[in-house]
Amino acid sequence: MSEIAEKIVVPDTAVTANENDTTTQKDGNCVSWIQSSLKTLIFIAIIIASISSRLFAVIRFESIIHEFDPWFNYRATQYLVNNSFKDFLNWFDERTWYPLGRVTGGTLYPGLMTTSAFIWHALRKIGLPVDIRNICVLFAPAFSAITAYVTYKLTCELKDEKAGLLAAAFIGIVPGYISRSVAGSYDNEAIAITLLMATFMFWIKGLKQGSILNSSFAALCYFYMVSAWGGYVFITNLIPFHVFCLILMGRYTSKIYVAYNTWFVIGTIASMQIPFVGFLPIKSNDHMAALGVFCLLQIVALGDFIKAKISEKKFKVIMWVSIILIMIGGIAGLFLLTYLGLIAPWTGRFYSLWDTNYARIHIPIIASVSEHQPITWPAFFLDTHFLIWLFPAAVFLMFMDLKNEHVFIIVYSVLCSYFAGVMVRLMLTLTPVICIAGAVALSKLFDIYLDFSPIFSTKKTGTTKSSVMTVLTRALVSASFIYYLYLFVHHCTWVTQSAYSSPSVVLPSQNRDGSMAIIDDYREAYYWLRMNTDYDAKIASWWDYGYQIGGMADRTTLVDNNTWNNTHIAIVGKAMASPEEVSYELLKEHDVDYVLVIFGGVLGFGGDDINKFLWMIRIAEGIWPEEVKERDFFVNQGEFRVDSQASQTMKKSLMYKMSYHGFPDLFPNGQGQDRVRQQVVTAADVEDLDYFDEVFSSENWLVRIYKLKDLDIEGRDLSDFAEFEKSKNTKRSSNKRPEIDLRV
Amino acid sequence: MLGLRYIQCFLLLLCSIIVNVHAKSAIGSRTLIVFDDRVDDLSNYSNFFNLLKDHEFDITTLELSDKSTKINLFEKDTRLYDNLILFPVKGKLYSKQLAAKKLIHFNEDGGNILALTIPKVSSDPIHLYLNQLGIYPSPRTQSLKDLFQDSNNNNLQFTAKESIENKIIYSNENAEDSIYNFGDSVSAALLDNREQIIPLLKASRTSFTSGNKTREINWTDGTQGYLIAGFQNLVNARSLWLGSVQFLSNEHFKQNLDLINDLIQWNFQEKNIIKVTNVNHYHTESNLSYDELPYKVTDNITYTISLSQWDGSKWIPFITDDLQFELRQVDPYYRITMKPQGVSPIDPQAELYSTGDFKLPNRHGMFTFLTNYQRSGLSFIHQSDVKAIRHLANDEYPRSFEIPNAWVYLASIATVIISFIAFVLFFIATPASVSEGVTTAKKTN
Repeated sequence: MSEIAEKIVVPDTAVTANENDTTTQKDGNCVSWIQSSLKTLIFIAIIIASISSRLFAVIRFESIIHEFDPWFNYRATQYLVNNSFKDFLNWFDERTWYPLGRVTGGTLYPGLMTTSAFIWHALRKIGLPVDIRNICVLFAPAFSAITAYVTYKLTCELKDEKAGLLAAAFIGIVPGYISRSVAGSYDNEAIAITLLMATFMFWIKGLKQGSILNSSFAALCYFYMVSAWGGYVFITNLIPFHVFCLILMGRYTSKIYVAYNTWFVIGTIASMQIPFVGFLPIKSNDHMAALGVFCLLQIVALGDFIKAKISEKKFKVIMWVSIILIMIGGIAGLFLLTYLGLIAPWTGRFYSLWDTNYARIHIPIIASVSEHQPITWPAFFLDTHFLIWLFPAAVFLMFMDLKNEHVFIIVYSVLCSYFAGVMVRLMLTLTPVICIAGAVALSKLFDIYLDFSPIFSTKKTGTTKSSVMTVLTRALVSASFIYYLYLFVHHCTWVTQSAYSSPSVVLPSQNRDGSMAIIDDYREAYYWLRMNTDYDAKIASWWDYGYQIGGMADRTTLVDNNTWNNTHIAIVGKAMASPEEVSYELLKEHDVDYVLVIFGGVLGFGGDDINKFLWMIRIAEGIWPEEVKERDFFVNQGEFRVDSQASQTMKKSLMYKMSYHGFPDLFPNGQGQDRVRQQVVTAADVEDLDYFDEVFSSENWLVRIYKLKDLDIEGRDLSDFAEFEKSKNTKRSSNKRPEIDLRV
Repeated sequence: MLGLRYIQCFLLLLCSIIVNVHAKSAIGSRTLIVFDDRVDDLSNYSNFFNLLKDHEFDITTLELSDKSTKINLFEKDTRLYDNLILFPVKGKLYSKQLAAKKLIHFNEDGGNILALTIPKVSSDPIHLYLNQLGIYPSPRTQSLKDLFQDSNNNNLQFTAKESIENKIIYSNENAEDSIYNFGDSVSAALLDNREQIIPLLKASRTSFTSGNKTREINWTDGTQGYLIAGFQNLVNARSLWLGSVQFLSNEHFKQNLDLINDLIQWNFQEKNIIKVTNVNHYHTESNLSYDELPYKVTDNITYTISLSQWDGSKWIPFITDDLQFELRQVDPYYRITMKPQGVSPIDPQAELYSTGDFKLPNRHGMFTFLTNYQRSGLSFIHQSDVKAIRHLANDEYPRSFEIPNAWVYLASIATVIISFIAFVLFFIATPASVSEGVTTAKKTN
């Protein structure tokens, strides 16, 4: 909170400093010295605030990598540190996506890993051999400090330093950004937001000055961004859109021409050097806008040149004819290229940006990711607090003062507001612009209301009464906004520590007496796998846990969070949704040794596999509509039940059997109370597992691991084998002729 | 030194002499015979036991009519016998001691079992055990009959030519017209479709199994029924079922001797035993193994495998022409019949097979190098090795100037660069005043 207090002082001093411009040279030196030292102090405070608020996760839990994707990034970084960069670039990972393998080096964004490897090597060079895990854990907080600085520079371009400092403070602690950058959240977004801001900052600088140097910096930052995050497409579309708007507004200048061409040419060629991107910039429709605006800009430049040479009247004719020709030619060309398959068709993710229901119907794999769900209203407030209502006001203020860079912020905020509404994860790109806009609005407000100079000047001009009123209103408004700032800090701290600091690998819970307890079932299970299974063992699980199994248990997985092969995921889905004997054959075919399921019924953990089961069924049904039918898993009323009324298909499915195997026995009278679905599962509902052996269940039964039985040595079906094992020794042989297929 | 050589030679000589007399089992000779005096007299089978002794089997006989006899197949977890011969036995006590589960356990642990059933006695454990293998002998009341055979003594006889099913086990090729006598009390069995079952001798077309009651359904009709069936489980332990005890008795022994000898040899693992001695795959050109140089797509690879077989006394090269190699990634990408290359250079007891040079598919991933040789009567061979085949690295593609098609683009790049430099030079060299004059003139049009 102290940072905020200090920050508010700044505009005050800055304003007074401006007033005293006319004082002597010596005084000016003194004031500017105080200003810059204050600024430094404020920055140090902001950096401390932004880093320390991200350390909740480490302090409350421990220094580990969070969630799912960061585990892959961490594993890749380890590989890079242990091998050469060339090995990393050509890394063929045979321990995922068995038996397909993954060309990992060519299908990842290497920016994050190379940056941390670079830091690791640099620290070793200066005699600080830090464990790579610690670098990865503290990577995001460190970069959030840089983000704060870059945001400051960007906002300075929009208004002035006062707004810049406010924006830096906001971005430092705003929960919308913290959600993806707490310590341990070693994800691409951690570095990408920094680069996003840097690219925009250089772009606006380049645009303002028509500077080749700054535009080249923008292109280099863009290249870095491309190497770090798939979200670079956002920049690829936003900058051309900005330029397009400027042209439509009739604001074409040679500065725009220089800035855009420099950025586009260098940026595009540089981005093609990333193996995963390759030729996408000239093939994919996501990049067509940038290319189109590039061409348009050449035409506009030509038009501008011609306009300077010939008369107005002739120019109008030339303009209309060429516009019509270009439109026809462009549209026809686009259709033709798409039709011939030379440019990629519109991707599913693209469609789902426009129609939120598209993915749910057509591509369950995309819709099944919780990040791709539409956002809820409270989330906006939770992530940005009072900035969310300053944001529209700021956009209005931008309209009042419509310079080129303000158009940029307007375009950014309009586009991003829409996209954030469609996909939760895009909230992350909206947050910076909210912070910038909020800072601009607030600093404009403070410019006026925090200016108490009338107190000193009233003696000469106005009456005392009016000056008192002025001071009073100003004090009132300022005080209320300072109170809002205080609330904001309070809110940010609370949200950060309660909502965004859980590593999701370990789950927090409470003991009866209210003290904190940690549920550590995941790591317990992964450690069991690491210690008790063969190094070459293949583990089948739903794809959510693939990266964690690879990272923590170091075992080969069938599918993981890099969902590049829908069919392969459908195989696992089918295995989970089918009866035992079908699953067994399918899994044996893929050399699977163990199956891992997450079951939250004992603990009351809602994100378990039974709740994800419908997605598995849908994805499998997409490939095998004859064998897996979603309808069969519902009871007649259209309900999805797990108790005695559950459908037969449901009870026979492998997922059901594995989840509830032995579950009713935990409870008195065999009345198993599922705490997630609030239904009673009895022993009669759960059939025996004949083809799988339970080998491990974690402390709270959150993770359950089953081993596929070996083929029967005598060649029997494993169900016959189980039946025989259950029979008594004193059984008599039957005198009835067996019903068997006779030999042919 | 010299003395040692002599002793060695002498031992070898001794071994070969013994072997010439009779073959030895590849796994072991401890044999348990379970017998019940109430069903039959042991002395009726003295010739059969002498044959076993000639085969160097170390025989223990357990007589079960005495109720105090305990049968122990295992001492703690160690198997006490290699082979088990089960004559038909009466009584409940026995069904607990020799329960089907114990027999299965014995068999799964690698022990061989010879089981005999007759229509007179129902030995439940043996029936249950056989049923688990997919062999269903006819129940107690039913016996095999053939009304077309000479019925002066009710003995059932089958000719080799018509009835012998498996030529791998039955070695006597010249004796196609020999006749085997099964006596007058024979049970026939139904077999299911399991591939591990090896039908050995089937009933004649005119035979059938029927009981005393008229309403009963016939267990088998004609060639549905079998009299001898073998079974080999996945750990290569062998079971054999005989539908007649008299087949082994002194009375018919001489007539059946060559078949009995074959069956004993196969059942107790004296013949048709093959094993893999060495598997290898490597880069064809450089002879480097996978560990030295991992495979990448379209590499040229050679796969070799060496096989030995047991001839009763020692391991000798095993020669066949139907040994196949498979390269699989769920589905097979290659299926190559390997050619015998002569005796393996590293192991003189084995035959070397090679696929010759083949090109890996242009597809990266985890591939299984597999030899799956499963022939009825021979030991099963399943040899698999999973290896990753990586994609081409960034510098393993041909360079652009090596591809003739790319010359067009290279030339155009060069042209653009050169003309740009030329333009810049020209632009700098041209005096500025020339262009000024033109613009002002045009503007006024």
